[in-house]
Amino acid sequence: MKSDIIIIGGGLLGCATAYQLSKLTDAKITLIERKDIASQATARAACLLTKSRTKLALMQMVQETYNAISELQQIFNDDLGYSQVGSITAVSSIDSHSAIEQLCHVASEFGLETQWLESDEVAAKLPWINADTITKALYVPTDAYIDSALLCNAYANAAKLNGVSIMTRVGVEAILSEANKITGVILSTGERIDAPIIINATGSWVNRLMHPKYGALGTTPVRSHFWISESKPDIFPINQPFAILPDAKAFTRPDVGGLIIGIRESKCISYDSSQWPNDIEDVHFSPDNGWMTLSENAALFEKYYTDIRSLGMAHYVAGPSCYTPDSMFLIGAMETTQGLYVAAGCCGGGVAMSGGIGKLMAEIVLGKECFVDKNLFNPMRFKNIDPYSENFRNQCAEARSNKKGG
Amino acid sequence: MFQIVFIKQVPSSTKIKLDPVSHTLVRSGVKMQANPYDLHAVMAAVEVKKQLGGKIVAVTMGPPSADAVLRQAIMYGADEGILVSDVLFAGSDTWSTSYVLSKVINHLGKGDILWFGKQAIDGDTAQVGPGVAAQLSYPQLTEMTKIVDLDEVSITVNKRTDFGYNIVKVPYPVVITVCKEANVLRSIALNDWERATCSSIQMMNASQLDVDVHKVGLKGSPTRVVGIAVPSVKNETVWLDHPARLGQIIKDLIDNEK
Repeated sequence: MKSDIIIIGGGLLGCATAYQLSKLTDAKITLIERKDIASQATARAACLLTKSRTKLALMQMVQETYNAISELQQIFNDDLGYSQVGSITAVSSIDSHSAIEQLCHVASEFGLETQWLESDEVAAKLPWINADTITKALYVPTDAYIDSALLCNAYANAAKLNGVSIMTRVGVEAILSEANKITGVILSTGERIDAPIIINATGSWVNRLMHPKYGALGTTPVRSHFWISESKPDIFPINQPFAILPDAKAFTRPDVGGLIIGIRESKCISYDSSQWPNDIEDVHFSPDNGWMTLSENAALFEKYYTDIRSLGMAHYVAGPSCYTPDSMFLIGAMETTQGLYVAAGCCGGGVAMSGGIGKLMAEIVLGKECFVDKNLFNPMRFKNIDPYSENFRNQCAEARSNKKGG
Repeated sequence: MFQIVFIKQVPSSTKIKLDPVSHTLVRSGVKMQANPYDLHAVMAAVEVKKQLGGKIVAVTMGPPSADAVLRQAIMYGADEGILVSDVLFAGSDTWSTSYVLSKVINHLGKGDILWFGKQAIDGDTAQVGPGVAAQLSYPQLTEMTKIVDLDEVSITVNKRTDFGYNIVKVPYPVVITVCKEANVLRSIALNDWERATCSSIQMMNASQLDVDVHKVGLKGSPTRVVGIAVPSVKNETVWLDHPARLGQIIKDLIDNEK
């Protein structure tokens, strides 16, 4: 069997890359997924499509995701669980004022509609919040969230309509090369597929196929988790904006009458992915179902919602986010081997960035002019690292702990 | 009212392994949870306590790590937890387990209502609750779907039968096993978790319970598992490129059966 391009991984980055590539080329593309499309980390995302970012390039990438969503909604006549509720970034310390003002500045430069809210306006939009504690709040009315599994499947199905072959429930055991040139892959069935170009988009498993033969990628999975409260539609209306609360290291999002609450610990947990099973269902993320984290961080969140300790939690969702030490993605060519590319290290932004990452990956692979500076995401920018070492994993965990945005 | 709720720790995943020698579940390294039916039993006990007061004690028999399910029971409203644990109990079948649990009840003094889930989702035997009733000569009501009425001396419940439902009134003490339909599990809050985490779990072993060691563990169990086979699961899907092929496939299947 032969293909021009093989994409390994049927999560958001792999499927978005397949979709964006299929729009730009008639090349024979094959996407291979060990389990099912959107069955791993993709299905455990909080799904915020936050537009305002600290860097223009990142805002451009999010915009590409919005563009892709619009295309996919038209192709399938399906809203994909898209909900434009707006977002509020609210701070309560003077220290955070400059950061939120910088966020507003970059957003305005990009042409994004923003609005400063008074505390009574915040209270009207977020009935549960203790608005007195908020000293500054930035509202982005066009922000939205989406169903990540529906989005991922839409990318895959649209790619399929454009001629991409999708293989599921078959894994890639090895990437093959000769004389520093990619030649194909060996599947878990023993079958070989020849191809001169391979894109590794296997998320938490990205180093398993690369390291040490093709180089080390500077990313490792870090635990990401959120809680979904019991339904209380009177105080958690379904059309309320999602909220980013940097001083509580938290975000919230409406969810069918309940509230999704995500909290970043001051010390996040990273994993040695060389030891990981093939299915994240078998990873024990939180034996205590996340209660310890919620307990440790409740004091910060309590300033915004005084009843956090008595709020019933209906669900707890934990999964891996692949972080890099500088919180920037890994997108581009592996210099070690001609024809080998990587799209990984979503840094908790895989849903919002998927369309942009897919587009940039497609442009790099096809040698086209890139819509953002590809050097920002050079996958080999971390030199002399052991991605499985405790020291490196701690750097990635720290990147998540220090994250302030959505 | 003194209520005792029995909880079993079971694997969370369906990807379980069996020890080839003892034919028992391999539990080490497996994600575990409280048997879901047992949590409905806790909720039923809480419903009774709301009306009649008293105390709810949660009991589990298992390895030291099984204290997690007792804390879960406390989150749902149990007052305290007892972990019955001893290497002598390892490999006990349902009858041996019933014997040990009956000893726990004797040790605690007579309970008014002894609650169980209708069955555990790992073994699916539904035998331990009735087994305890038999050991203690208590009346038993299996598969309760609703508490109909309640007073200081008796409970009236709706119970499922093979042919429908019965409404049965029974005086205490009684063993009751509970279906999921009996109530809706409430959402746990951080306060519940913090209370459960701070609770101390009482430990009980074979010598404290005065059990006959010949009646417990793998050797003391009358059940003999002579073999276990894992059914093979084939996830084979054949996509038909044309509806007309369906007719041929059906014909081939019929021909193969002849």
